[in-house]
Amino acid sequence: MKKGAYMISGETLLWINRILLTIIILGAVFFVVNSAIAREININESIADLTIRKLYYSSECFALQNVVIEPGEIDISKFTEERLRNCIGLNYPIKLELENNEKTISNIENYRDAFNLCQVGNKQKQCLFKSQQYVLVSNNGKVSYDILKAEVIVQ
Amino acid sequence: MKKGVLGEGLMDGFSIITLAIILTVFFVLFANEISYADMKNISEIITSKKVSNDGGLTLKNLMNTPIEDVNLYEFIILNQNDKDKIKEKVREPMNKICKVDSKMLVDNPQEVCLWYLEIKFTDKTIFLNGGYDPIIHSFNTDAIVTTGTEPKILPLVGFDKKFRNSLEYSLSLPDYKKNLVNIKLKLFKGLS
Repeated sequence: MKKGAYMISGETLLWINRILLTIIILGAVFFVVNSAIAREININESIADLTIRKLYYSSECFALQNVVIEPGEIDISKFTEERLRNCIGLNYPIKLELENNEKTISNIENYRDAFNLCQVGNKQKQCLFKSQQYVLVSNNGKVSYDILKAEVIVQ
Repeated sequence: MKKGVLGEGLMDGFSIITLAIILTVFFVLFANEISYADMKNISEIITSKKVSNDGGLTLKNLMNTPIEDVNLYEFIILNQNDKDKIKEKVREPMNKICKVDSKMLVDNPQEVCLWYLEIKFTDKTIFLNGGYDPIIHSFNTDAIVTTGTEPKILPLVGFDKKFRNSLEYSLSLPDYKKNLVNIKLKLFKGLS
């Protein structure tokens, strides 16, 4: 054997393999844990769904209240932009339309701008949610049926 | 020999630590209820799925829809021997809830909606369905048969569509003789 030559014993080779294997396992474990922790949770669709349901379930919004609350039955006298703002707030731009009654309201003045802005990024991350619900409309005790079309923007 | 024994001892230590780490990871993951399906494609955003069922509100509203000074449910009870009369009155509100036409099948299949309404009295059952009766044909979509209790799709060559969303609502209400009438509404929405 030459002077200064380096010799790797069988046992050293074995240890290199063991350490490499341990690093690979630790790396894999770190990757899995990090992926799980850093995952993105998107609940926009649920927020939109619950916001829309509140409109016809809650008497604070549009649900008719004759002693008891009638879910799904809209009191047309409550169907105003002011009440919509008080009920839902301004966090999520909303546009509502009662098809047969031909009434459209929104909680913000510039809904169209919010809609256009949302449409730009809607393909990457959905922000516009639409819903249609068959509702009854009470107008001074006279009941008719209608479709409530709702659009909610949740960014 | 001594070195060998020491090495094996160290290896045991490594193995135990590695095992402990793996078990900890799995404990953390399971404690957080992260399913295997979520882990499988971790880059995919985990999204909440909208609750598409409305808790029976559509059927409740349908039965409360005013028809000729009574609501639809009472109208059905009063005219239970005249299916055509019931059908005529049910179609109008149902067309608001759920509709389909051949243009929609081609241009906007995700908006397609077919319905089936079953009213079960103690002595008879009335079936009504919506959409085209009995068969829908469309130029470049599958054929949809609506004669049964629910619409069936007959796939054409190269097409194999299914309804994306099937909803079922049911209500039991008493009639004038205090017998229960079971009402079932099925909606079949969106072809994909």
